[in-house]
Amino acid sequence: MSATTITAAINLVLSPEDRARVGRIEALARSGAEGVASLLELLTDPSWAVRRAVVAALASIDGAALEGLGDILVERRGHEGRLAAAVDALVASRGAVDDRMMALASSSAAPAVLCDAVQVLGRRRARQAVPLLAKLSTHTDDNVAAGSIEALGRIGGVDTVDALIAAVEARDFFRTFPAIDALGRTGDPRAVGSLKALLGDPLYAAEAARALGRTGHESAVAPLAALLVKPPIALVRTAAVALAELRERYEARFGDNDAIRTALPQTVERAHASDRVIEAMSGVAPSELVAIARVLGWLGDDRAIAQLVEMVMLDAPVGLAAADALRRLGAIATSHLLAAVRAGDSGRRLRLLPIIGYTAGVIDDLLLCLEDQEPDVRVRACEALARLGNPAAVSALFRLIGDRDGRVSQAAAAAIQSLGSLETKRLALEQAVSPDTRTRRAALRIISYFGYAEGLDVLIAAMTDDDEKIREAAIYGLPLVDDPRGTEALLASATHDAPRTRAAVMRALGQTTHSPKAVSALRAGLADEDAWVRYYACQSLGRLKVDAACDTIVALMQDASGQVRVAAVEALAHLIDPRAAAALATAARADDADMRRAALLGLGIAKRAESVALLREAASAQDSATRLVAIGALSEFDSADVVPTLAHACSDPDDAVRSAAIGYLSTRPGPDATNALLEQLFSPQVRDRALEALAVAADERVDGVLAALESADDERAPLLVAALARMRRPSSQAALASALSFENVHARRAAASALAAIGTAEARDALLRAGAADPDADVRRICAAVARP
Amino acid sequence: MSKPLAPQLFAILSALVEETLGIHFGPEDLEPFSDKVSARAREAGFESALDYYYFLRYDTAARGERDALADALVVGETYFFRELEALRAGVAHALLPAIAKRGRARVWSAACATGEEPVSLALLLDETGIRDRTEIVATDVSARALGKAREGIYSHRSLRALPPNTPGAGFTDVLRILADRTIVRDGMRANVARAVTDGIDYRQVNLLDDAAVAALGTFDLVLCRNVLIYFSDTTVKRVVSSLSRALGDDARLIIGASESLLRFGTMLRCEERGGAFLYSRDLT
Repeated sequence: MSATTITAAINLVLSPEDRARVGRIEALARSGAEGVASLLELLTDPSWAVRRAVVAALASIDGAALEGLGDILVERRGHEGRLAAAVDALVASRGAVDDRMMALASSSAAPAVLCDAVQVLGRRRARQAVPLLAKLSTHTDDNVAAGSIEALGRIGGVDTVDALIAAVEARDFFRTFPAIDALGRTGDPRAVGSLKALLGDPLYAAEAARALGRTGHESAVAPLAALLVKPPIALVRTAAVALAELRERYEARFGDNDAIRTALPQTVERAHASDRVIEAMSGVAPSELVAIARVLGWLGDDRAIAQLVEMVMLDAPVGLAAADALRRLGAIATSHLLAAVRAGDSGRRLRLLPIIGYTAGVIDDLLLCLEDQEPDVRVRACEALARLGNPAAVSALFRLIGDRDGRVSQAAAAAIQSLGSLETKRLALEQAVSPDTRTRRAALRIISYFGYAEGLDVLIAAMTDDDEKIREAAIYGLPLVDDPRGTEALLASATHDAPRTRAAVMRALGQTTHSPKAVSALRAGLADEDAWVRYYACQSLGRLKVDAACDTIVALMQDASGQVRVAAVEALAHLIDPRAAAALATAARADDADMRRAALLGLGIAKRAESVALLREAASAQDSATRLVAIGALSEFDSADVVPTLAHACSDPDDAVRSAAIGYLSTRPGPDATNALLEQLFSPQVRDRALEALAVAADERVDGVLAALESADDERAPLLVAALARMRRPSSQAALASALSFENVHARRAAASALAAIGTAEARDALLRAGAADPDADVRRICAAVARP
Repeated sequence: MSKPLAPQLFAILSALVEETLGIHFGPEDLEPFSDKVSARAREAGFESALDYYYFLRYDTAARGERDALADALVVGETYFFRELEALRAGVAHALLPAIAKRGRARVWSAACATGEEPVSLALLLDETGIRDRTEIVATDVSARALGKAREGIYSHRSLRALPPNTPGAGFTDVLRILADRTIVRDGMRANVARAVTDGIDYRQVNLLDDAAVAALGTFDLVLCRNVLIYFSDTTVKRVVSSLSRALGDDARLIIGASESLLRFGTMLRCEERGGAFLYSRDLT
């Protein structure tokens, strides 16, 4: 047996010699133009790490290195490593590389030099080079032409489309192949026709199908769907994956809607297509199975549904995709799902039950699952019954409120509360005197939830139960039954022997109306020997806004028990006494993270203007939970400082903080919040969430987005247009149409492309009306593509 | 399903869980985490998840509840003879040499969940003929999982790599006979023979508890498979350091096939043996 020993630490650590050489390189970089010649010679260093350092150094020197690097491309081509490093340095340089490379590409006759120049231009996404690259894409040398096509693909945008279409239609393998992929990625409506024409050619069909998926255009659905019912089987798989990608790209640009889902079944015979897709599943990778699950969901015939029910049993992500497809199918999948639940074992039921109940259906099969031996299945069955909303399930659910598994008991009680029914009161009152403790406890909670007046005596009687948890359940219920006898019963138990019972009473008193007796009992509770009694007494006094207890509560900030200290801080937030505010400000800088966070939360509740500075400071705290609390509290304020802090939090290292910040901005009115969200569109990390956030309160955001679109460059315009398109409101569609009259050509091109993709009658009319006479040829061509039947 | 926890609550509760149990929960786990924590909070008598957090954080009486929360949160999904080739490599390259040298060997199944791994190992040792000279210690943080392991009753999910399903590579006819005798099917369930479960020393140990790990002594083979994926990088480093100290001089550590320690730059050496990766202390 062979043994390969590998050292576990394979960090990219430099040797001492390399580290010394990198130090010299950094010194040369700092010397600027003087160091260039030496750096250029180091481009052939045998160490990869050292060559990377040289590339970075030359890129940082800007203009002074440009001449030398250009010379390497033209005159010093003898060393492959040096040449590749020079190209990398030119790509990364902040100097005027684009002009130099365009000059080189225009003047040089050597194909190898041209190839390097166009590669640099493409990797730098030099938009001004598009006309030159378009010309070179028809160069007699295949390598130059292919390199130019790839560069156009990297640059992307509406103005590359004509050249890419020409390359696709040339049917010259070395040019057509790279052009297919690049054309698909442009997402331009004109791409569909050219790519569709390649589907009949076995040489290009698979690549063209993939590219059609990348267009994200509804008009590509029909040609891809046609592939599902034709040989070869491999192409069926490719088409399914392409359809799934098309749907994803469409959603990313224009938001979630049913356009793609409904288009597929209209263009193909569903049963036949499902058979073929199922046949194509053999031996495919999980990522492809996910796509196939989605396509089967869109087809939605009996065969597809049956297959999806089987696929639910597969591991994530395939099983999840199949479940999602079945859920989206709604009512038409319900009978299949119920049959599978009826016949299935616990494992199958566990997977299927979370999908059931989103549409109306019979409950008999679900009632069977309440008897399943697996507690998880019983929990999911309770949840499904709650979703179904049929009160006929209530009596069966009552049989589970005493289930020996706590989760089942909770789920059954929650379902009963969600369903209601004429029977619930009677059953709850019956079960409240059950000999089984868990059943009694759950029944008391149900009585409390509905606040049955008839339940008051039962609750009061339960306060003398020997079981502590029964007493607690009764205590929590008393404030919910609107009767003064409830409060009297609570006060009578405020000095109960059992600490848990006293703590429960303190908590419950906070739910009652402010009364001298309740306040007196709570203030006495602040001195209780049990920490939880003090904890809930603090909380309740805060909730009842008892300023008279301020001094005692401030003193409890030094309590020996952590939870009491925190409760004291929380309570102070509700008091108007100035001493409470001062104590909160002190706590906001406490060493204990929980104290600090409770204080920050409190500052948000108290909303005193002077707290903003403290909260902004805390928004930069070291731990992410504190930052989260700080921005949440800050979002409660109307101060002008809030939006910049939230905008800054959108680039927080912690994803939860970023998401929360975007969420707060999304619900915040005003142009500042809109502008802050618009800025986030240009951060790949949060772009999708910013797009979603802009769609919240969309009508108010439309003007802000449109104003930004008026001066947007070619990179920003498509994103701003995507934001408008995803809003899916009449106001946003009208805004898109109005963008066709902007002076800004980038805005007009992006708007035209989006309107063509949206494809509604209004969008089409707007395009035909405003676009046909547009001074820009690309806009006119998009309009012409839409006008064609 | 419970309402998902607020981001702030999720942040502090998940940080507390990571600190005490080592299990990392990211934003993608919000819903299942909320579900399990809210259910535990209600069961413990708390109406608010924040009150529950303060209970776990500050109350000295919360020890039992922390165990119950661990039971609820730990993912113990496993099955008999999972990644059998790796087990075989451990027997061949760690246990057999130890027995040849000292006449006895010790193996630790760390994070054994409901016991499928130590039972599989016991059968493998029977097949090799060294069962009577090997001590099996199996630990988990979850008392409930250990209770099930000692009970020896399993659902069909644990039997997925046993005939009539297709067994994994390395499943011999001898092993099949031993499995048939030991893991007795009863409808959708199976019972493991008491002689096997009683021969395994099950103990409740939190892998983050250095003292508890040290108290187990040293081993010739440590199995810690498909566990590290639930930990953050910081916790993995801490746990691996603790596991390393439990390795004897010529001992081996085996982790899951989808896991790797290479990116952590540990001081462990890694050898590939017939497709399995065995780690050992670098004594050079």
